[in-house]
Amino acid sequence: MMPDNAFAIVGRIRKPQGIRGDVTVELLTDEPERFFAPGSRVFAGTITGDIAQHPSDRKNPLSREELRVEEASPYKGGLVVKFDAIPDRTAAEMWRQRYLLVPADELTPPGDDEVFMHELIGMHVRGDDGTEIGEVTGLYELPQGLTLDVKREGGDVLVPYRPSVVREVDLDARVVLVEMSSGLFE
Amino acid sequence: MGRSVRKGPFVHESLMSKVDAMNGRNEKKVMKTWSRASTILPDFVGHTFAVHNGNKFIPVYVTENMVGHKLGEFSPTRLFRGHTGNKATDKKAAGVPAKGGK
Repeated sequence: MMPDNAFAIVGRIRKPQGIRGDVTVELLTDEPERFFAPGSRVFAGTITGDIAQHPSDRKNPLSREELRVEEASPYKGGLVVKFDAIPDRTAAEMWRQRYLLVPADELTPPGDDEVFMHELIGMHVRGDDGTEIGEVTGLYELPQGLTLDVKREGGDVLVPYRPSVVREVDLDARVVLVEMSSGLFE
Repeated sequence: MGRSVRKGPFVHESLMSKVDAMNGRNEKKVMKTWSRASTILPDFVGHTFAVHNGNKFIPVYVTENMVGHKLGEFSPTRLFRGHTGNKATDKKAAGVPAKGGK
Protein backbone atom coordinates (compact mmCIF):
# COMPACT_ATOMS: atom_id res chain seq x y z
CA MET A 1 0.00 0.00 0.00
CA MET A 2 1.24 3.49 -0.84
CA PRO A 3 2.01 5.41 2.38
CA ASP A 4 0.20 8.67 3.06
CA ASN A 5 3.40 10.70 2.84
CA ALA A 6 3.54 9.73 -0.84
CA PHE A 7 1.11 12.61 -1.34
CA ALA A 8 1.53 16.31 -0.62
CA ILE A 9 -1.15 18.89 0.05
CA VAL A 10 -1.48 21.64 -2.59
CA GLY A 11 -4.74 23.26 -1.55
CA ARG A 12 -7.86 23.19 0.54
CA ILE A 13 -11.48 23.69 -0.54
CA ARG A 14 -13.02 26.47 1.54
CA LYS A 15 -16.64 26.92 0.36
CA PRO A 16 -18.95 26.76 -2.65
CA GLN A 17 -19.01 29.82 -4.90
CA GLY A 18 -22.11 30.39 -7.02
CA ILE A 19 -24.58 27.73 -8.15
CA ARG A 20 -22.58 25.94 -10.88
CA GLY A 21 -20.47 23.86 -8.47
CA ASP A 22 -17.47 26.19 -8.32
CA VAL A 23 -15.49 26.16 -5.07
CA THR A 24 -13.01 28.56 -3.52
CA VAL A 25 -9.59 27.01 -2.92
CA GLU A 26 -6.97 28.14 -0.38
CA LEU A 27 -3.56 27.59 -1.98
CA LEU A 28 -0.98 25.55 -0.09
CA THR A 29 1.53 25.34 -2.92
CA ASP A 30 4.22 27.57 -4.41
CA GLU A 31 3.13 26.53 -7.93
CA PRO A 32 -0.64 27.06 -8.21
CA GLU A 33 -0.38 27.83 -11.93
CA ARG A 34 0.91 24.28 -12.43
CA PHE A 35 -1.41 22.24 -10.22
CA PHE A 36 -4.59 24.23 -10.89
CA ALA A 37 -4.21 24.87 -14.61
CA PRO A 38 -7.28 23.81 -16.66
CA GLY A 39 -6.89 20.14 -17.54
CA SER A 40 -4.63 19.25 -14.61
CA ARG A 41 -5.73 16.77 -11.96
CA VAL A 42 -5.50 16.61 -8.20
CA PHE A 43 -6.56 13.93 -5.74
CA ALA A 44 -9.29 14.36 -3.15
CA GLY A 45 -8.24 14.36 0.47
CA THR A 46 -10.07 14.21 3.79
CA ILE A 47 -10.68 17.16 6.11
CA THR A 48 -7.64 16.07 8.14
CA GLY A 49 -5.28 16.22 5.16
CA ASP A 50 -4.96 12.49 4.38
CA ILE A 51 -5.61 11.00 0.94
CA ALA A 52 -9.26 9.89 0.55
CA GLN A 53 -10.47 6.65 -0.99
CA HIS A 54 -12.86 6.70 -3.91
CA PRO A 55 -16.45 6.72 -2.51
CA SER A 56 -17.54 3.96 -4.90
CA ASP A 57 -14.62 1.66 -4.02
CA ARG A 58 -14.02 1.98 -0.28
CA LYS A 59 -12.94 -1.66 0.08
CA ASN A 60 -9.83 -0.96 -2.01
CA PRO A 61 -7.30 1.04 0.05
CA LEU A 62 -5.51 2.09 -3.14
CA SER A 63 -8.57 3.64 -4.77
CA ARG A 64 -8.22 7.39 -5.27
CA GLU A 65 -10.70 10.04 -6.28
CA GLU A 66 -9.38 12.25 -9.07
CA LEU A 67 -10.63 15.77 -9.63
CA ARG A 68 -9.88 17.40 -12.97
CA VAL A 69 -9.69 21.18 -13.15
CA GLU A 70 -12.03 22.65 -15.79
CA GLU A 71 -11.60 26.37 -14.97
CA ALA A 72 -9.69 28.41 -12.40
CA SER A 73 -9.62 32.12 -11.68
CA PRO A 74 -8.02 34.25 -8.93
CA TYR A 75 -10.15 35.04 -5.88
CA LYS A 76 -9.03 36.80 -2.66
CA GLY A 77 -5.49 35.38 -2.61
CA GLY A 78 -6.72 31.93 -3.64
CA LEU A 79 -8.66 30.55 -6.59
CA VAL A 80 -12.22 29.83 -7.66
CA VAL A 81 -12.04 26.41 -9.30
CA LYS A 82 -14.53 24.36 -11.32
CA PHE A 83 -13.81 20.63 -10.95
CA ASP A 84 -15.36 18.01 -13.24
CA ALA A 85 -16.50 15.88 -10.28
CA ILE A 86 -18.51 18.71 -8.66
CA PRO A 87 -21.53 19.38 -10.88
CA ASP A 88 -23.58 21.80 -8.75
CA ARG A 89 -23.74 23.73 -5.48
CA THR A 90 -25.39 20.87 -3.58
CA ALA A 91 -22.43 18.63 -4.40
CA ALA A 92 -19.99 21.46 -3.67
CA GLU A 93 -21.38 21.81 -0.13
CA MET A 94 -20.10 18.28 0.60
CA TRP A 95 -16.55 19.32 -0.25
CA ARG A 96 -16.12 22.04 2.38
CA GLN A 97 -12.72 21.99 4.20
CA ARG A 98 -11.40 19.00 2.23
CA TYR A 99 -7.76 19.01 1.19
CA LEU A 100 -6.45 18.50 -2.33
CA LEU A 101 -3.29 16.47 -2.87
CA VAL A 102 -0.85 15.44 -5.58
CA PRO A 103 1.75 12.63 -5.57
CA ALA A 104 4.88 13.88 -3.78
CA ASP A 105 7.09 12.81 -6.71
CA GLU A 106 5.32 15.38 -8.93
CA LEU A 107 6.55 18.28 -6.80
CA THR A 108 9.45 20.39 -8.02
CA PRO A 109 12.48 19.38 -5.91
CA PRO A 110 13.80 22.16 -3.63
CA GLY A 111 16.90 24.08 -4.73
CA ASP A 112 20.21 24.42 -2.85
CA ASP A 113 18.82 27.16 -0.59
CA GLU A 114 15.31 25.74 -0.26
CA VAL A 115 13.66 23.23 2.02
CA PHE A 116 10.04 22.05 2.30
CA MET A 117 8.49 23.85 5.27
CA HIS A 118 7.01 20.67 6.77
CA GLU A 119 10.50 19.13 6.92
CA LEU A 120 11.63 21.82 9.36
CA ILE A 121 9.14 20.74 12.02
CA GLY A 122 10.74 18.39 14.55
CA MET A 123 14.32 19.35 13.60
CA HIS A 124 16.88 19.93 16.37
CA VAL A 125 18.21 23.45 16.72
CA ARG A 126 21.92 23.70 17.46
CA GLY A 127 24.15 26.73 17.92
CA ASP A 128 27.24 27.24 15.77
CA ASP A 129 29.34 26.55 18.91
CA GLY A 130 27.66 23.15 19.34
CA THR A 131 25.14 24.19 22.03
CA GLU A 132 21.86 22.25 21.93
CA ILE A 133 19.04 24.80 21.95
CA GLY A 134 15.81 22.93 21.34
CA GLU A 135 13.42 21.65 18.70
CA VAL A 136 11.32 23.32 16.01
CA THR A 137 7.68 22.87 17.02
CA GLY A 138 5.96 25.22 14.59
CA LEU A 139 6.23 27.77 11.83
CA TYR A 140 4.69 31.19 11.44
CA GLU A 141 4.42 33.05 8.13
CA LEU A 142 4.66 36.64 9.39
CA PRO A 143 4.74 39.81 7.26
CA GLN A 144 8.48 40.06 7.88
CA GLY A 145 9.12 36.46 6.78
CA LEU A 146 9.07 32.87 7.96
CA THR A 147 9.67 32.39 11.70
CA LEU A 148 10.51 29.13 13.49
CA ASP A 149 8.98 28.41 16.88
CA VAL A 150 11.72 26.70 18.88
CA LYS A 151 10.87 24.89 22.11
CA ARG A 152 13.68 24.97 24.65
CA GLU A 153 14.22 24.76 28.39
CA GLY A 154 13.22 28.05 29.97
CA GLY A 155 10.61 28.99 27.37
CA ASP A 156 10.02 29.07 23.64
CA VAL A 157 11.96 31.36 21.36
CA LEU A 158 10.99 32.53 17.87
CA VAL A 159 13.79 32.44 15.33
CA PRO A 160 13.62 34.35 12.03
CA TYR A 161 14.41 32.10 9.06
CA ARG A 162 17.06 34.45 7.68
CA PRO A 163 20.65 33.69 6.66
CA SER A 164 21.90 36.18 9.30
CA VAL A 165 20.42 33.99 12.06
CA VAL A 166 19.97 30.51 10.54
CA ARG A 167 23.27 29.44 9.03
CA GLU A 168 22.39 26.06 7.55
CA VAL A 169 19.76 23.33 7.47
CA ASP A 170 21.08 19.77 7.50
CA LEU A 171 18.29 17.54 6.19
CA ASP A 172 20.12 14.25 6.80
CA ALA A 173 21.05 15.01 10.42
CA ARG A 174 17.73 16.92 10.91
CA VAL A 175 19.56 19.87 12.43
CA VAL A 176 19.05 23.62 12.04
CA LEU A 177 22.33 25.43 12.71
CA VAL A 178 21.88 28.93 14.17
CA GLU A 179 24.15 31.88 14.88
CA MET A 180 24.64 32.15 18.66
CA SER A 181 26.06 35.68 18.51
CA SER A 182 22.72 37.03 17.20
CA GLY A 183 21.60 37.60 20.81
CA LEU A 184 18.31 35.72 20.35
CA PHE A 185 19.16 32.92 22.77
CA GLU A 186 20.37 34.97 25.78
CA MET B 1 -5.80 63.71 15.93
CA GLY B 2 -2.24 63.01 14.94
CA ARG B 3 0.80 63.59 17.13
CA SER B 4 2.28 67.08 17.08
CA VAL B 5 5.11 67.46 14.53
CA ARG B 6 6.97 69.65 17.08
CA LYS B 7 7.41 66.64 19.42
CA GLY B 8 8.63 64.35 16.65
CA PRO B 9 7.93 60.60 16.42
CA PHE B 10 7.62 58.65 19.68
CA VAL B 11 10.41 56.23 20.53
CA HIS B 12 10.84 54.81 24.02
CA GLU B 13 13.85 56.45 25.63
CA SER B 14 15.64 53.26 26.68
CA LEU B 15 15.14 51.69 23.26
CA MET B 16 16.58 54.73 21.54
CA SER B 17 19.63 54.70 23.81
CA LYS B 18 20.17 50.97 23.11
CA VAL B 19 20.03 51.58 19.36
CA ASP B 20 22.40 54.56 19.62
CA ALA B 21 24.85 52.49 21.67
CA MET B 22 24.75 49.63 19.16
CA ASN B 23 25.19 51.97 16.21
CA GLY B 24 28.16 53.52 18.04
CA ARG B 25 29.76 50.09 18.47
CA ASN B 26 28.68 49.03 14.95
CA GLU B 27 27.05 45.95 16.50
CA LYS B 28 23.94 44.04 15.33
CA LYS B 29 22.43 42.09 18.22
CA VAL B 30 18.77 41.35 18.81
CA MET B 31 17.18 43.90 21.16
CA LYS B 32 14.25 42.76 23.30
CA THR B 33 11.55 45.38 23.74
CA TRP B 34 8.04 45.70 25.08
CA SER B 35 7.62 49.08 23.43
CA ARG B 36 5.22 48.27 20.60
CA ALA B 37 4.26 51.94 20.27
CA SER B 38 7.77 53.06 19.33
CA THR B 39 8.07 54.42 15.80
CA ILE B 40 10.67 52.84 13.52
CA LEU B 41 13.31 55.46 12.70
CA PRO B 42 15.89 55.32 9.86
CA ASP B 43 18.55 54.56 12.55
CA PHE B 44 16.80 51.24 13.23
CA VAL B 45 17.29 49.86 9.71
CA GLY B 46 19.36 46.67 9.70
CA HIS B 47 18.73 45.91 13.38
CA THR B 48 16.56 43.06 14.66
CA PHE B 49 14.13 43.73 17.51
CA ALA B 50 12.37 41.07 19.54
CA VAL B 51 9.00 42.75 20.04
CA HIS B 52 6.76 41.36 22.76
CA ASN B 53 3.23 40.42 21.64
CA GLY B 54 1.84 39.80 25.14
CA ASN B 55 3.04 36.22 25.12
CA LYS B 56 6.26 35.86 23.14
CA PHE B 57 8.97 38.00 21.60
CA ILE B 58 8.51 38.17 17.83
CA PRO B 59 11.74 38.87 15.91
CA VAL B 60 11.42 41.87 13.59
CA TYR B 61 14.26 42.58 11.15
CA VAL B 62 13.88 46.25 10.21
CA THR B 63 14.10 47.20 6.54
CA GLU B 64 13.84 50.62 4.90
CA ASN B 65 10.19 50.28 3.96
CA MET B 66 9.22 49.77 7.64
CA VAL B 67 10.38 53.29 8.60
CA GLY B 68 7.51 55.38 9.97
CA HIS B 69 5.51 52.37 11.13
CA LYS B 70 5.27 51.21 14.75
CA LEU B 71 7.18 48.14 16.00
CA GLY B 72 3.91 46.59 17.19
CA GLU B 73 2.59 46.43 13.63
CA PHE B 74 5.08 43.63 12.93
CA SER B 75 4.40 41.62 16.07
CA PRO B 76 0.89 40.13 15.71
CA THR B 77 -0.86 39.29 18.97
CA ARG B 78 -2.64 36.32 17.41
CA LEU B 79 -0.39 33.76 15.76
CA PHE B 80 -1.83 31.23 13.31
CA ARG B 81 0.14 28.03 12.85
CA GLY B 82 -1.97 26.76 9.94
CA HIS B 83 -4.19 23.72 9.71
CA THR B 84 -1.83 21.24 8.11
CA GLY B 85 0.50 20.66 11.10
CA ASN B 86 3.45 18.55 10.00
CA LYS B 87 1.64 17.07 6.98
CA ALA B 88 3.51 17.37 3.69
CA THR B 89 2.65 20.47 1.70
CA ASP B 90 4.18 21.99 -1.43
CA LYS B 91 5.47 25.10 0.34
CA LYS B 92 9.16 25.87 0.51
CA ALA B 93 11.27 28.00 2.82
CA ALA B 94 14.04 29.76 0.91
CA GLY B 95 17.16 31.79 1.59
CA VAL B 96 19.16 29.48 3.88
CA PRO B 97 21.66 26.92 2.51
CA ALA B 98 20.37 23.35 2.88
CA LYS B 99 22.46 20.21 2.66
CA GLY B 100 21.55 16.53 2.32
CA GLY B 101 18.12 15.08 1.72
CA LYS B 102 18.60 14.85 -2.05
